[in-house]
Amino acid sequence: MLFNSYEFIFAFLPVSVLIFILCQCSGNRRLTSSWLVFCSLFFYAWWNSSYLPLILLSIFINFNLARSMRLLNKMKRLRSSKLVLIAGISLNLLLLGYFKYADFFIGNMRFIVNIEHTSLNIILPLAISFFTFQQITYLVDTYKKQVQPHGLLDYMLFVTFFPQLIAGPIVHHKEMMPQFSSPLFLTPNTLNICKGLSIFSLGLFKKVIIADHFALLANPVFDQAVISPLPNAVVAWTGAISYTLQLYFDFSGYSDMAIGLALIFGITLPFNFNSPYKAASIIEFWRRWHMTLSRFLKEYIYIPLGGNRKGYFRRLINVVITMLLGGLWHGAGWTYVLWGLMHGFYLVINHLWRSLIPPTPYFLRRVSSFLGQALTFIAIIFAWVVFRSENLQAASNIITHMIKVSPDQFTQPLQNAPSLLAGLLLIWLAPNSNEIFSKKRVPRPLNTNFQWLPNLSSAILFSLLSFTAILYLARAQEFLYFQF
Amino acid sequence: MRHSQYLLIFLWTFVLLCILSISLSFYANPYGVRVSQEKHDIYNYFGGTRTAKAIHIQEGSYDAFILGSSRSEIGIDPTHDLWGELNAYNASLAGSNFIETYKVFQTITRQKRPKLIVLALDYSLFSDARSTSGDFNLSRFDDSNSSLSSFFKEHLSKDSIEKSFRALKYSIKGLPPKHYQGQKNGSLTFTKVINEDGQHRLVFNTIFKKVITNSEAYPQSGFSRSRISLLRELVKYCSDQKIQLIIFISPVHALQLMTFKQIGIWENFLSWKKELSNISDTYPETPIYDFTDFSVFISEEVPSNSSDTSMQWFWETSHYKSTLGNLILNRILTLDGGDLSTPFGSKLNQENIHSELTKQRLNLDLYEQKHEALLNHVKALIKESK
Repeated sequence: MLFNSYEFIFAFLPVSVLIFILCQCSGNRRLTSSWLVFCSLFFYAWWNSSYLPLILLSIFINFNLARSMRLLNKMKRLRSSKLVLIAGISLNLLLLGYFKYADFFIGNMRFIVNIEHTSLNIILPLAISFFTFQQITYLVDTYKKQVQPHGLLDYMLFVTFFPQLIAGPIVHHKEMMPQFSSPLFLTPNTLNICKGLSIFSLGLFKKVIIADHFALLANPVFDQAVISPLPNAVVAWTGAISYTLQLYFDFSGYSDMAIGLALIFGITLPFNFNSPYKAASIIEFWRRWHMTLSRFLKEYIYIPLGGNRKGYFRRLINVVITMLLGGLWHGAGWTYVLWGLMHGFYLVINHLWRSLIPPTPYFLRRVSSFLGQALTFIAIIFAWVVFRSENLQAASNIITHMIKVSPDQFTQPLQNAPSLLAGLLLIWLAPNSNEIFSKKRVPRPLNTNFQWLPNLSSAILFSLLSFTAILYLARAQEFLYFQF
Repeated sequence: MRHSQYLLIFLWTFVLLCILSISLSFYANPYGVRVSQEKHDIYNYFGGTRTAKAIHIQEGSYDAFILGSSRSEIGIDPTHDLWGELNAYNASLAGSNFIETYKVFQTITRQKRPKLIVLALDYSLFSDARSTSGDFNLSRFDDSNSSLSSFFKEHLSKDSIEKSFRALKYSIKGLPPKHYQGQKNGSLTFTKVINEDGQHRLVFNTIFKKVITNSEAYPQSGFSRSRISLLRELVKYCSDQKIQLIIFISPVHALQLMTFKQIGIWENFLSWKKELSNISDTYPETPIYDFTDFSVFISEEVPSNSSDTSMQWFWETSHYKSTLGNLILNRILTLDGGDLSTPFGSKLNQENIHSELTKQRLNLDLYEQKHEALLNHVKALIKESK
C-alpha cells in the first residue's frame, strides 16, 4: 500500500488511527502494540501477501538469535556469542543477496565466463534492504551488550512499524524501543496528531505535486537516452536538474509522511533530510542527505572498517569502500556501483582539500561557501545522472551532452524554465520540514514566519495542501525509494 | 488555539472540500453515468473516454460490443438496424494499442455475457512503441484500480473537477453529444476542420502527422509478436466460451497504403495480415475480413487543393465515415455478406492469403501509376520530414 493512495488515506489510516486511540484509552500496552503490529503486517501484505512469511521468518530468526546471544553473553561464552552473530549477519546478507543481487551476479558471470544461464527473475520483496539492515544493527548491538531485553511483540513492532517499514527513515532500536515502553505511548496526544497530520500533508504535497511534476520532465529525457543520442545540452541539463529535484522532493516527501504518520501514533522518528542541496561540500551533503542511512553506513561499515583510526590513507580507502557499499545497497547494477564510487572519490577529494588547503580567511567565507555550494550541487547532479540512468551507456549519453559547451548546444530555449527555477529556489531558500516543525529558528532569508504553530491559518493551509494533493493522486507515481 | 480546535478545523476544511468536489462531479455527471435505465443508451459525456466507457460497460445492459481504435469508434454505428435484437455498445478507444483492447475485452467478459463481439483491427494497434494512453490508467479497465480508488478517481480528482466544469459548459451551451452509445461523433470532430482548412489540406496533414512522422504507430521494426499472441488468446477465449467473434481490418484510404510503401512498412503490413490469416486457420468459426483491398471505396478520389467538396466515405485517409461503416456492417452482419453491387472487403484465410496479398501489391502499383501527383506529394512530404 502506498502512502499516496486512496486506500491508505481514506480507509487504512482513519481506521488504524481510530482503533489505535481506543486501544490507548484502554491502557493496555499489549493490545496497543498488537494492533500496530497487525496494521503494519496488513500494510505490508497489501503489496504482495506471499512475502509476508518471509518478513515474519526473518523477524523470528533474528529475534531468537539475539536472545541466544544475550544468554551466551550472560554465561560469558563470548566466542559462541560471536559465532551466533556471524551466523546471523551471514543469514541476513544471504537473504538480501539472493533476492537483490543473485540476478546481477548471474548476469555478470554470464558476461565474464560466457556461459548460457537464464536469470532467476526474482521479485525483490518490498523493503528488504531496510528491514535486513535494521535487524543487522540489532544483532550487532546485542552482541555488544547495548540492547536491553524485551519481548517479541516490541521487536516485531520495531521492525514492522508501517510508517518506516518500506523506505525508512532507517531507525535504530535505541531510539524506538524506549518509546514503545514509555507511558506516553499509551497517552492520546492531540498535539502529536495535529503536528503529525500537518507533516504528513506537507510530505504528500511535496511528493504528489512537486516530485511527480519533475518526474514528467525527467523521465522522457532518461528514457530517450537509452535508445538514441539526446539532441543537445539543454535537454540533457533539463533532465538532470529535474531528476535532482524529483528525487529530493520524492524521498524527503516520503520521509516527512513517515515521520508525520509515526507522530500520529505517538512515535518520534528521526528526520532524514536537512536541506541537502544547501550543502557547501560533499562531506556536508552526506550529513544532510538520507541522514539515517549515512548514520548506518558510518556506524556499521566505516567504523568497523577502521574509520580514521588506521592512518590517513587507510581512512580514505575506508571512505571509498563505504560509499561503494552504500551504492550497492541502493540496487544491484553497475550504475549504482559507479554512483557509490563517484561519491567515494568526491569525499576523498573533499578530505584532501581540507587537509591540504589552509582555512579560508574570514572575509572570504561567504564567497567560498557560495562557490562550494555551487560546485557541490553540480557534482551531485552528475552523480544523480548515473544513479538514475538505465545503464552506463545512457548515463554517458546524457553526461556527454551536459559537458558539451559549444554554442550550438544551447540554441534551443530552456523549456519549463519557470518550474525548474521555482524548484531550485525552494531547495536553496525555503526552510525544510525539520526547520518548519521543530522549535529551532529558521535561518535567514526566510524567517520564523514559516514555523508551524497550531493556529487557524496553519490548520487551513495544511488542510488545503492535503486536499490539493488528493486531487492529483489519480496520476501519482510510485515512490522512487520503493525499488531499493 | 487549543490543539483539538486545530484538529477540527483541519479535518472539517478537508472533508468539506472533498464533499464539494464529489457533489460537483455528481451534479455535472461528466462521464454520463447514473442516467435512468430507459435512457441508458444515450450516454452523453465530455471527456475521459476510457473512464466513461468502462463505467458504461459495467452499468449498461449490452450484449454486443465493438472493439478497436478511433477508426471504429468514429465509423461503426452501434445503433444501426443490422444489430437487430442485440443491444450494441461501441467500446473502441481512440489512440489505443492492442493491450488496451485486450483489457477492454477482459472487462467485458468479466462483467457481461456478450453474444457478439466485433473486433476492428488496425496495424497500429500492434506497434510495440505505442504505449497506453489517455485516461486508461485512471479507468476501471486498468485492473490495478480497486472500486474505492475508481470512485475517487471518478469523483475526487483534478480530472473529475476539470471535466465537470467542461460538462457544465457544454450543457449550458446546448452542444450536441460527443459520444452516443460509445460512438464518437465524427461530424463534431472533423467538420469544423474541413470547413476551415479544406479537405485536401486535412488529408495531407493526416498523412504527414499521423503516418510519415508517427514512428510510434508505424515503426520500421514491424509489428509486435506478443500482441499477436494476445489476439490469439482473445480468439481462443471466444471460441471456448462460444461467443460469436467477427474480426475485420479497418479500411484506410489507398493514399495511406501508398504512404506505407513509401516509408518502407508496406511489406510489414502484409506480413501482419498473413499472421491474422493463420489465426483464422486455427479458429475457422471466426471470420477475418480485410477492408483494405483497394475497393472503389478506399480508392475514393482525393479532392484537389482548390476543391471545397469533402470526401464521401472518409473524413481523411485514416478515419472512415459512418456511411462506409454501415457498408462494413452490411458485409459482416448479414448472412449473405450484404447486398453489395460493388466488391468490398475479402475474407482472409490460409487458402487465399497469398493470392490476396499478390493482388494487393499489384493494385497498389496500379494506384501509384494512376495517381502520380499524389505519389509525388507523398514523396515530397517524406523528404520534408527528413
